[in-house]
Amino acid sequence: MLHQIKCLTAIQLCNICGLNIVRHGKDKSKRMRFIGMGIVYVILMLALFGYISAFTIGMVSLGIGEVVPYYLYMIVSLVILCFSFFKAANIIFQINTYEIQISLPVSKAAIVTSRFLTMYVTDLLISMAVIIPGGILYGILMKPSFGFYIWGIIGMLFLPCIPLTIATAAGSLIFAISSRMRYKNLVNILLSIGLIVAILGVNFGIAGYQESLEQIDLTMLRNLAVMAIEQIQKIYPPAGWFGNSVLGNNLAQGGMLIGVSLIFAGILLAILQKFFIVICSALNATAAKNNYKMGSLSASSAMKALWKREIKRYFASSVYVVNTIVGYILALMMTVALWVLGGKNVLEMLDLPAEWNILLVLPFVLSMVGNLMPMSSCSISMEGKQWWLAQTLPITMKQILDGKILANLSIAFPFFAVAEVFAFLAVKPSLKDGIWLIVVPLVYTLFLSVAGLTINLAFPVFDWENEVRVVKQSASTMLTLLLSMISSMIPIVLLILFGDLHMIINAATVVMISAATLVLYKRNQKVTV
Amino acid sequence: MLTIQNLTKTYKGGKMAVDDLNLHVEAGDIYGFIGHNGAGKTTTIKCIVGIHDFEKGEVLVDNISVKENPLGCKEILAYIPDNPDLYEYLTGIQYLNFIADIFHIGKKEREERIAKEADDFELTSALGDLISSYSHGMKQKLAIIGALIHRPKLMVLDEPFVGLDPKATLVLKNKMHRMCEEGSAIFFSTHVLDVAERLCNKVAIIKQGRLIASGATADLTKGDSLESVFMEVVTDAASN
Repeated sequence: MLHQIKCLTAIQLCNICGLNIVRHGKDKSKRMRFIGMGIVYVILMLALFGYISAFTIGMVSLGIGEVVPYYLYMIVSLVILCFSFFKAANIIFQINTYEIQISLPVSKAAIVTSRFLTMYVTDLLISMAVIIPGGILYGILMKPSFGFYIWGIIGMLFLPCIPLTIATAAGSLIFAISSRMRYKNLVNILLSIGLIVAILGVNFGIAGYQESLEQIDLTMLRNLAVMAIEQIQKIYPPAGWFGNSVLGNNLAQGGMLIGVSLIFAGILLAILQKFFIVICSALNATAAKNNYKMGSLSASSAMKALWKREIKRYFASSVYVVNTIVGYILALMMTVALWVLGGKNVLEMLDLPAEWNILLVLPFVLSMVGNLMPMSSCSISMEGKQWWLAQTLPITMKQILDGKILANLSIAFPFFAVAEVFAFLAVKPSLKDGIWLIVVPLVYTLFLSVAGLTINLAFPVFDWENEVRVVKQSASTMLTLLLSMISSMIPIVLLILFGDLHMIINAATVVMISAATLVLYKRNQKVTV
Repeated sequence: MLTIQNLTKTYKGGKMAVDDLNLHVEAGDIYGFIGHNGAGKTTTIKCIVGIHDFEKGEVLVDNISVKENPLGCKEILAYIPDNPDLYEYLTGIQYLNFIADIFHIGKKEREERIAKEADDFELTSALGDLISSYSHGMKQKLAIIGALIHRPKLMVLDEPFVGLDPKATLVLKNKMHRMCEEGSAIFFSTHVLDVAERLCNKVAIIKQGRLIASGATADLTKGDSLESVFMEVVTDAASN
């Protein structure tokens, strides 16, 4: 069975991020896109390295450097949990390769394990990206014993297991429930959104918890490192086992980390392989009534037809909906929290300076959070193998793109409308500030709808086997995420530094973003894919 | 109806898929396009229908240039690929209604045409189901119905009979004949030489991107079978 797992895992990993196509294909543009995506990841890694370095140096200089291993372990686990949750079940129950693999003389356990291992390898990269630079920096500054490095490597290797197991279990449970329903996708989407709201709520809670932790650290500094570690252990015990094993060479705690990771993953895989065929078959089954009778048909304009098709495509994919809707939900939850808790408390919970004028930055924060991942950023790639239809029908590129922008706005605007209501109730703005609160998110939503398409037109991926590759692992969505953050953070920083000039900053930003939107909109129509 | 002049298409990486190809399809023609796997048939077809750009040559559909006025060409042609990947998240009827919207077909006309074509291909009862539940043959039938409802002047098909049941094959052949009688033209690729011989009034044979024989089927075969003519010209081309 080990040989089967090795073969299946290798075949899945060989085309990770389209690597195999780049290696063996002759298309230079695909190679360039792959390099472009590599550059994006390098930039993200550098940003991550900067954050880890600043955090490690900060903690060491405060004299509580021993908190670092615990904290990094917990944060990486949380990141892996969130990232894996959105993709885990899709990869475990991947339909495209299911029929091929199940017809081969390989066991169900080997198929399930290989799919789990594929995710493990990608999550291990996240683990390595944080733990290696953090560990090296910590080693230079704190000069720990040799055991630190040994346990550090072991801990890093086992780090993805528990969050990945939890994410896979949650995702699989949702798939198992929805696979039995008539409207599988809808149930899947609703359950996933429910879980997102719960995760975000817990994160909000943890943010508040950490705030109280840092308040204590800053006031009592050196003497309270032990308390900080205890609190992290309460939030996420494996982080405690890791910290205790790397800092204290604690064999029992290290053994606990390895044992629990393996047992958790082992139990999950045993359960999954038992129900694998049942769930895959149920997911694969499509209800066909075969009783249609021709009736009256409604005629629409080409534009409306394209828009309707986009909306149907959107709601046909749970992974597409869940990943792109998370920003809107976060924006909505933020404004509700603002209304319920008040501005000062929200700033405290999010670890932001209390002197911030929330009314000034709110339009941009709302724009950034809401538009983290607009659906347009992958809507070209989502056409996949059906792109030939758009290419051969008598429709212009402008019509295709307008349909996608309209669909994006149709999803975004209802969320923003409700979020705006709560934002107005929370901050009770003057007429002038109220106008900014409406205009800024509106302009940004339009901008990121159009810019998402621009980026996706530059980095299209049509030859995907699983939607996860397009929605979660593509350069297009990563770059749109970066653009959303950078374009909003610049005015936020300016407003914090020069609050008195907020009218000028707001007006200049709106004009520039609008101009960029117009330029990109015109440019997009000339692109051929 | 379809004129291809000096068409040359080179893929990224340097492979020349179509090399200086010339071809003319007249209204009323059922034109068969024959060749080995990888000979350049699908690439040529994709250049005609606007999927592939090409560096040299010209493709005219009813005297409209594919390069200069692609939309004008697409309005009068229909394309059916060998493996129709349709919008699987739509039902059959939603897909056909979408096609009708794009081609601006009026409400009454679309209802009549869809009803007629779906009945002919025995697909009516499945039109309310999602395309993802269709078999390969059903998808093929749906793609054909979608191509027929806007009454194209030129129909371009890539291996149209693969996956179709015998009755649907016969229905399609009859529809091809009727379209040609009404002044349209059909251009299709196939591996099935028997079908090409019986159905097509003209054929062209392509090898390694170059046209090695073309003309009226009767003139090419001269009483012999198309299969033996094909083998002969392909072997001659290889030895030259």
